Amino acid sequence: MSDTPVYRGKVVMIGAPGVGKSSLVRRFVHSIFSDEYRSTLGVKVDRKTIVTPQWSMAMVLWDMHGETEGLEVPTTYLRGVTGALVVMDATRPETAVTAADLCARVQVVSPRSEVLCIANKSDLGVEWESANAGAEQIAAGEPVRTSAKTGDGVEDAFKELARQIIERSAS
Amino acid sequence: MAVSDAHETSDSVDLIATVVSPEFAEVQRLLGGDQRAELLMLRRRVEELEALMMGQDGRANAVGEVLVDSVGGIQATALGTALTPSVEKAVTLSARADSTVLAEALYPVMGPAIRKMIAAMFTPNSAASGSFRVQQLLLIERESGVLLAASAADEEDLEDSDVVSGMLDAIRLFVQEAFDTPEHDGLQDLRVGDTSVLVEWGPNAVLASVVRGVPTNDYRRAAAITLEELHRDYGSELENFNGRVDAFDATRPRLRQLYKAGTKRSAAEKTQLGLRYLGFVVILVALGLLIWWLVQR
Repeated sequence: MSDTPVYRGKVVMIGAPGVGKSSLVRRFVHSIFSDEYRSTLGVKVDRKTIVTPQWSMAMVLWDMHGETEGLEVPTTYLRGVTGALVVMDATRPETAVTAADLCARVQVVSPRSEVLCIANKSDLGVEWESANAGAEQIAAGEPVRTSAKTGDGVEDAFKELARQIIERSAS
Repeated sequence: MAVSDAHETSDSVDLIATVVSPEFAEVQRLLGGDQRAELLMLRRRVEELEALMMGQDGRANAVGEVLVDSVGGIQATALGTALTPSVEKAVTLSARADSTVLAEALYPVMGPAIRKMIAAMFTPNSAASGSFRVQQLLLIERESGVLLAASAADEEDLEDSDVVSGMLDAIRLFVQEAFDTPEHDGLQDLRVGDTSVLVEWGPNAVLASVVRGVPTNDYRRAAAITLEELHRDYGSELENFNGRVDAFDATRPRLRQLYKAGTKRSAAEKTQLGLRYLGFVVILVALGLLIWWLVQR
């Protein structure tokens, strides 16, 4: 076993359609498969590796299709999940309701997983109160603000989730 | 006495004649002679045929008797030709209505034929098997689809193995969701052209072999045994998997062993390789002799 622990986990990117899940993935991860797989399989798999002096973690990211009424993310896809990045659109408070539902589903199906909520498109300068109105429903707490467009907060969000996953694994 | 109606049966006529006049009967006998007996017989035969043809069952039985003789006789070919369009139509309609009927009926015949064909494809000594080569081996955690360890000839080939293992799991889940297959049924084999992915399933881990060519049954058996041994030796780590994959670094030698076993050259390739070595040796010997001869001169 190496001195620096090496972790690998299945992390799902979930949220309502159009919140920016794929944009977040596309900007900062290593892709070998084209986006067309999402339309056929409902998911596209990518990898994001976080390296720190204390540990390294390869996140195998499952970029899921957006959750809507009548087209839910299949429960089987949420099994064995190590972590979940639940994304909502900071300009659309209603997407926080979907995010809250998904948070709850992940925690039921994979109770040992860590969940991090993200309020994307925060570069649009939306007053946080309107986003918070929806965010209150999210039991995980105040979402991390990100912008896939500018890159702000994205790396930190992935690192924070990885840290939470490893802390839980070590406990 | 009036002459009897022509439509009455001769029996009736005879009865009337007997009742009415024995002389009349004698006249009939003298006029008709033996032909009367023959007429009576024919009449009875006609009445029997009429009775037979009156009902549908009777007609069907009559045709059936003739049909049996026709099928077995010289008319069999003509009958077969005549029936072919109807049989084809009937089979088509049956398949469209419920394909399982024909599939179940043909299974006793097709099952052994298919197994025979597959055995011929995967028999090591079969001319159809040729060579195969394992390109990658992936040991995958069953529930999450996370890659635990991998082996390949070139380390560069392993760079994206974790993404590949994730996509394999996604394909399995897609098929389960789309076609409502039982969750305990796992993806077995994938094949595209000359490349296959063979998947062995264990309770906590999955072993996927990416193979070029047609693998032998011996290799499949070896892969199954390797997975069993890994479960035996790393059972605790697999059951309590918490994401830390360096715990499985020690499985790599075992995977490497299986990887080496998964390379089989065909007889033709072996012969060709042998000839090349022989040719090389011959050239070296010839060069050596030439040099010695030149030196001697």
